[in-house]
Parts: sequence; structure tokens; C-alpha cells
Amino acid sequence: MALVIYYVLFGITVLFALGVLFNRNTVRSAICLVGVMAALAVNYLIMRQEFVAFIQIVVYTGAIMVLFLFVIMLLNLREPEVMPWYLRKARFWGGALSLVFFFTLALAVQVWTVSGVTPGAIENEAFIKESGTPEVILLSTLMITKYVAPFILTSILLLVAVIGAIVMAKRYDEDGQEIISEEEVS
Amino acid sequence: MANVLLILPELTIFLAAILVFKCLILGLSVLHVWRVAFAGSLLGLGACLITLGMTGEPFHPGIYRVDLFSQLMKTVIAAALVLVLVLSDSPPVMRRDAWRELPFFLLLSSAGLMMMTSATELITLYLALELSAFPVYALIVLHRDRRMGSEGATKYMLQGMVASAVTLYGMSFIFGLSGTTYLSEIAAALPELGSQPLFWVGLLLLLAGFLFKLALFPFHFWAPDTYFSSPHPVATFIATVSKVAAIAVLCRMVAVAGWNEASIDGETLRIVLIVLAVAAMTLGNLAALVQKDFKRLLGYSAIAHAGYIVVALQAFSSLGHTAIVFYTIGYLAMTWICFMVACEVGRNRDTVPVSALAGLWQRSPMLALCLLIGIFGLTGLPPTVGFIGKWFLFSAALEDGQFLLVLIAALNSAVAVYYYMRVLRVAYLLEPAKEDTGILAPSPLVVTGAMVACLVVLWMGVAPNYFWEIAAEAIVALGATY
Repeated sequence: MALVIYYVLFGITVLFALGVLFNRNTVRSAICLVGVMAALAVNYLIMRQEFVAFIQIVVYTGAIMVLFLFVIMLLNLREPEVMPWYLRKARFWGGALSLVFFFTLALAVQVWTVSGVTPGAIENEAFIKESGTPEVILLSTLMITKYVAPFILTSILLLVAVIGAIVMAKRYDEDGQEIISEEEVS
Repeated sequence: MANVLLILPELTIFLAAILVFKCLILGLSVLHVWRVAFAGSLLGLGACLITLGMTGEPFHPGIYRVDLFSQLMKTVIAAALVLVLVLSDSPPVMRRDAWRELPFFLLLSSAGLMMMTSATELITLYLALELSAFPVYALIVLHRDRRMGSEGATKYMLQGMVASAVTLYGMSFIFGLSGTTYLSEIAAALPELGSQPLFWVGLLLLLAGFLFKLALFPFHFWAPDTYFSSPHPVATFIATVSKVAAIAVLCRMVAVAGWNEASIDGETLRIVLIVLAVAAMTLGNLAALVQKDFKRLLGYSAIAHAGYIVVALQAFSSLGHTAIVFYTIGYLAMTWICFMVACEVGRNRDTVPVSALAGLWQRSPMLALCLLIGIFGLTGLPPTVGFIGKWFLFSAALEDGQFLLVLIAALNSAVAVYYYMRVLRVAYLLEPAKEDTGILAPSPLVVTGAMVACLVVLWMGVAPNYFWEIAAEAIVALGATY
């Protein structure tokens, strides 16, 4: 039963993801992305990760997607232009290559014999029951023990991204130079 | 406390970056900011040397490994960072307002690269990869010619993003199969994993991000374009420092997957690597033949050199790995010399066509001599490290019985002689163009850096045993882990 729900949910997630890709209208794509994020949150819920699911909804569906929509609406949206011939060709070859890639992967998955795979949900539930600690504590413990290096690195990465964005977005005068005083340069 | 000592190099570089950031906020002048960054990078190099003999794990076991291999690679990265910073003192090809940010981003990117060499956990590895890439994306945009900068950055960033997405995709396969992101646990499960094709597909996808940094064949498109359109010091950084970390990660991943007796299917990985190496060498060398821009030419030569390195990587042997580490050190010095000349000649130029080198021996005999040594090294002529390094690389493949591959590689090196010598011909035999006859006078610091780099190139070429022994010890340390 749990597996059926799983596959239905995965199907919905993939459908939304395809919607992001194939919608010509940018706003609709963004809305589909909201759907992907929400479906992922439900996936987390099924895996008994209530906290992560909650964060997923608040941060991604709530904050980030709203920002996305803001940016899209602020930009001047025009109808997509007719693609030049070389891009259409690129589309064909890209599609063909993706198909080849897909079949390679499918072959690899097919040869790989599925055995002894337990869905994450069952493992997680057993783990949580066994340890008897709230999920948030488990999560935070993992973050400062097993995954401490990624945790630190993420914070630095975000800092870099923010500073990089600011440096790139500085304002300039007509010559493309920001006006700075001479003594600052020397 | 001992743990803090283990991550001293990364810590020093991070602290230097934060200090530089503070200086930026305080509005110090370009020169002061640069001095702080330079001092920080020197301290970082010192910290690397201090930790050179240490072994241990500063964080949770299995996540981050400090051993001779990682520390040697970090030392090389730190030394290269110092050399790049020497060239980054207010370069006119960058926007004036970005001069002060340049050292900050270089420091942060190097810290990411250093963490890449030590990371033994997939998520850490991925985040370090991104940390090393983000600052460089931002730096390319800061070219004084906005269109050129945007073009180069867009090309580099889009392809870099795709490559790292592919890496993440590969990691998801490996995680799905093994249920762990720790390399040690993956290595332990290898006898079982190795028989599953999906694992090898995953591993290849994972390697994509690092092959991208190395500019190997199917991921090479960015190299010539990015070298061409990024500011010269930034191009130097991409061409030297970031290659070292990519090579370190490739060595580590291959050591995990390929050295293991249990991995029978490692042969498939080897075949793929051979095909990529042949394609990269051939394409890089043939395309370089017709290049008119010096930096673009170096870009194609980098693709060819990535091929040479993979020739030794596919041997799956400690000999091959030692040859790679040895060659990496020499390659870094040679490439830096060539880019240093490009930086000096192109001080006020957005691009450095080969013709701009005309009459270099009249304009600056020192630069001309450096160019000679660097180009001889890249060509692979004795007495430089280029010759002996290639010798080691190819003999590792020969040891493995790959005669055909080595023959192709040797033929490729012969083709390469033509375009390298063309550069020297322009620099030594032609008269300088009318508009640039001025004497070029590099700053004393640049001269010192050039002397050190030339010395390394010649020293490693004449007496390789010292460096070879260190490289061999480092590889023993790497092999002992898995």
C-alpha cells in the first residue's frame, strides 16, 4: 500500500517537473515549480521527516517561489521568438542525445538487480521509533557530527554567492566605470 | 587543538579572506587590500608546509582526510595562489572598482579547491567544488569590457553548472546504490557495488564535474573561450590553481574505484578514459595549430595536456598516480610562466594575439627567456620538467602495456611542437610592431615569481628525484586509505 502511494506521488512530482520544462509561459512554469516543491514536501512527510517537509514548504514554496514570481513579473515578458534554424537543429540533436543517454541509464538500471531495497520511509520510521528522540534533534545532531563539513561549507558558499551578486550588480556610469574617488584607487 | 592544526591551511586562507572582506568594508585602498591578501596567501603557504607531514581527520571520521597526498596538493595550490596574486595587483584589464575584490574572490576559491583535495565525502566534495567555482564566475564578469566579460562568464557558468549538475546526478546514483556518501564506506562495499553497471555509470557522471575543471574532451568547450575572454590574472587562476584540485579529486576517486582488486568492471571505466584521452589530445593539438590568440592557444594546449594526464590516470596504478602528481607540479609552473608573459605583454590589452609577442626579446629579454622555458616545458623538451614529466606519464601507461595509446600520445606531442615553436618564432625572430615597441618592465615581485617558477621547471627537469620521491610518498599515503 505504502509503495502505491509512493509511486503515485513520484508520478505527480515528475509530471509537475515536466510542466516546468514544457510550458512556454514562464509564469506557468514557475507555478509548476511550486507544485514540484509541494510534492517533494509530501514525499518528505511520507518518509516521516516532518520537520524537513515543513521547512520545504516554508522556504521553497513560500519564500523562494514568491521571489521567483516577483522577478519574472518585473522582467518584461514577451512572446518567445521564433527560434533560428541552428537552435532548432540543436534541439533535435539534443533530444536524440538525451534519448541515447536515457536508454543507457535504463539499461544500467535494468541490469542492476533490485534486491534488498527498503524504502526510506520504513527505515526512517524504525530508526525514529528505536532512538526515541524527536526528529529535529536527530537532524541537528547529524548536521554537527556526520555532516559537519558540508554544513560549514554551505554557509561559506552562500556568503560567496551573496557577495558575488553584490559586486556584479554595482552601478556604473556611462563608461561602465563605477565612480570612485581617486585617493581610493591609488 | 590538534584538529585545528590539521585544517590550518584552509583556516588561514578563510581568515585571510574574511580579513580582506573587512578591509573592503573599511574602504582601504587597492594596494592595502592586495597586501593583506598577499600576506594571507603567504601565511597559507606556510601553514601548508607546517601540516605537510600530518595525518588525521579533523571532523567526524570519514568526512575529511588530511594526509600527505592532500597536504602536498594543498601546498601546490597555495604556492600557485601566491603566484597568481603576484599578477593580480591592479590589472588594467579589469574594471577599476573590481580591483579590490579580486584578491578576496581568489582566496575564497582557493579555499574551496583546498577542501576539494581533502574531502572524502560526496556532499562535502560537491560543496567544495561549488565554492571553488562561484567566485571565479563572478570574477570573469569583472572584465573592463563588459560584453567580453559577460560572454566569457556566461559560457563558463552555464557549462560549469551543467557539469556540476551531472556530478550531483552521478552522486545520487552512487548514494542510491550504496546508501552512504562516505567514500570509505563506498570503497568497503565495492566488491558488491562493482558488479553493478549502474555504479560505474554513476561514477562516470560524478567524474564529469572534475573532468570539466580539467577541460577533458567532451567538457572542453569552455576552456579556449574562457581563457580568451576573462581578465588575464583570472585566466591564470583558472588555468593553474583549479586544475590541481581537479586532478587531486580524480586521483582519489580512481584510487577508490580502480585500484580495488574486486572491481572487475573497472575495465569499462578505463576504456572510457582511454577514448576521452585520445579525443582530447588529438582535438586540443589540432585545434591549437590554427589559433591566432595566445591565450586561446594555451586553452587548446590545456585540453591536450588534460589528455596526457588521463593517459597515466587510466593505468590505475600507483606509478601512474605518482607520475600525475609529479607532472601536475611541473605543469602548473610551466603554465604560470606562459600566462605571466601573457599578463605582462597584455597589460593594457583586452586580448593577447600571438602577434603581440613580436620582438619580445627586444622589449624584455627576461620575459622572452621565461617564455622560452615555459614553452619548452609545455612542448616537452629537455632539460625542462615537460620532458621528464611526460616520460613518466607515458611510461606508466607503457608499464600497463598500452603501446597504441602511448604511440598516439607521442605523435600528438610531435604535432604540438609546431604551434609552440611558432610562438617562439614570433617572440624571437620578428621585429616588434610599430605601436608596441616600448620596453616592458615587470615589477620586482613578478620577476621573483618568474625566477622561482623557472627554477622549479628546470630543477624538476634536471633532478627529478626529490619531487618524485615526495609524489611517490603522497601516493602511498593515498593508497593506504582505501
